[in-house]
Amino acid sequence: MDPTWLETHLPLLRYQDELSAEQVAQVLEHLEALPPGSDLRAQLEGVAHALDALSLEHPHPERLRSLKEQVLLAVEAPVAPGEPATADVEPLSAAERAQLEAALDLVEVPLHPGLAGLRAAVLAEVDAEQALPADEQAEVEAALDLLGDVPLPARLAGLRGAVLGQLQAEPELTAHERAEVEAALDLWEDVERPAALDGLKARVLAEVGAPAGQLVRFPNAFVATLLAAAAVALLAVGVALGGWARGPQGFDPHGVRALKRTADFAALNGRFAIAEENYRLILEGTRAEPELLEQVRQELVAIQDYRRAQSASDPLLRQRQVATLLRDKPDALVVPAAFYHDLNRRSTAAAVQSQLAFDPSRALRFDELGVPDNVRDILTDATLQVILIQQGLRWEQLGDLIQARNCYQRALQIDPESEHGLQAKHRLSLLG
Amino acid sequence: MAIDPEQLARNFQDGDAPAFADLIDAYQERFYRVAYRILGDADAALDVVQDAFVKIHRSIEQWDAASKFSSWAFRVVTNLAIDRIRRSTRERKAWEHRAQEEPAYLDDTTDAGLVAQDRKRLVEEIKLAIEDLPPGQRTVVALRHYEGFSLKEIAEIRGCAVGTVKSTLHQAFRSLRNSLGPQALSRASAIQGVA
Repeated sequence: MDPTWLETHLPLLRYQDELSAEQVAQVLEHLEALPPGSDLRAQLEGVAHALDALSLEHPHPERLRSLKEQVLLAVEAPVAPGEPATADVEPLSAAERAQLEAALDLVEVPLHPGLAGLRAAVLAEVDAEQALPADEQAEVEAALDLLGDVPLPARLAGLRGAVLGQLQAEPELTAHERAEVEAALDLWEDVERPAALDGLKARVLAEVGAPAGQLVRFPNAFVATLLAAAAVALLAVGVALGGWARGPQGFDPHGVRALKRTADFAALNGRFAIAEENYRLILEGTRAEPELLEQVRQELVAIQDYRRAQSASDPLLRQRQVATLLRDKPDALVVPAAFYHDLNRRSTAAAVQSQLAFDPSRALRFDELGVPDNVRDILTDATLQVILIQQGLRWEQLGDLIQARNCYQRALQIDPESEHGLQAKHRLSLLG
Repeated sequence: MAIDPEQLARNFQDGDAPAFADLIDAYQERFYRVAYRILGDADAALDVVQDAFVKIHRSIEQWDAASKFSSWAFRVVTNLAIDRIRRSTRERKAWEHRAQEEPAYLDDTTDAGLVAQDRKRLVEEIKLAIEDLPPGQRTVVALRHYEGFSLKEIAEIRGCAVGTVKSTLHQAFRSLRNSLGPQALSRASAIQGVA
């Protein structure tokens, strides 16, 4: 008997239109076979009864009447001067604007002071535009999503596949883009830095100009600037801290931690080569704490394991192998989450390239955690906890402690006594 | 005879502007119920319903008439409600405020009064438990438990697979079960038995 199957189908007993007679019999049979089965059913009934106890608050009839009037007034309001009259340009509602602002918060990565100004620049652009065509807004949101690599807001879930399908990797930078990248690099000029950073600019430019570079061309200059700056910033932070922390006798503890953060950050952004290089540099250090070194070893092993899993020629088999590793090897903290995001991206890209995304019955779908359906059923609670903890760490990094707490609390709720539950508890205690 | 709401939507999309007012009549109460069940606050729910109708009016071109209008429209409502949860910290206060507004039964020691006390306590507990659910789980509970949508319909509304809805519902029930605890669950069943 599969307890997961039983638990998943148990709530549906309450809604018998969802289960065939055969399935009902199967659930009941399972319940009878297990001593705690009857308790499970009583608990289910208790939850349903508790939900039933919550009554609906009816609005005042006058409010409903005025609602209709207000809606009709709003939709019949004349078009403001300068606002396009065509229906295909949808003004940003207050909710959408708030969401856009929330998404733009993702850009405020503490490591890069220059990015803080970009948010204001983008918002100013939005103000100036008054309304963005739907496709441009989608591009802005997708760009911000690529920057943050954090879970998409639910309403944007469908956009990821569509946008990724349109993106083209740029083999070479145009002069204009190159200038933008250089301008972004100049943001670092006002940051005090050691001599080890000499030559950084040339190295980064070589990186972004390489054929495998992932810079993306967008029609809006401000989005291109945003992307270019962020991509360069992430890379620059990685390279800079790598050089910064190393001294003649290896790394000091502060440097090791900075390097670890850099490696984690690179891994989370899919730059596994940089992550691996920095993890190895840490292992070469002579003054790192044993616990941290062990964690780094686990991350390195995880990178190697995941690379092996990705060696299968069949893309679907590859996804499955990585997903299985996610299930079976949640011991490393950062890399599994990073590969998990990578798996998401690959799943989406595969779906788009094979045009499955346009067939709703076959398209890959994602739940709230961004877990694709083809993976969800083999993920264990422990893996979900790791994902949640990693997301929490990421939110902490982005400065959103409310979201971080939410992630940790959800991880804690899954299993408070497990290793990852205790990690979540620890993070919560640190956040206060 | 009332016109089928799906037909009303098609008429409106085809340029029959007055059909929009009829659409409001046809859907406002259902929209409200769903929004209220997700948000737990009447004023917030009414705001969401209003925003939803405005959005539907402005975006009707985006509705694919080959699919069900109601699925598309409820997606607009649930997305707006979820957005509101995510960006609003006032919601918790709304729940707490409403809890304080419940009539006081504590002085009533008759049998009926004791049941009422139990019910009041249970209502407060379930409100808190629902508030702790992630927005997606709340939405699935609202649509399935309170509004009677099938898992398939919910999948269409939320734009996800049926399996995801099933799994989300399971997670929601599990979270509610854990939040409420055995005592509250027993009390809920006992109260329901009395009722």
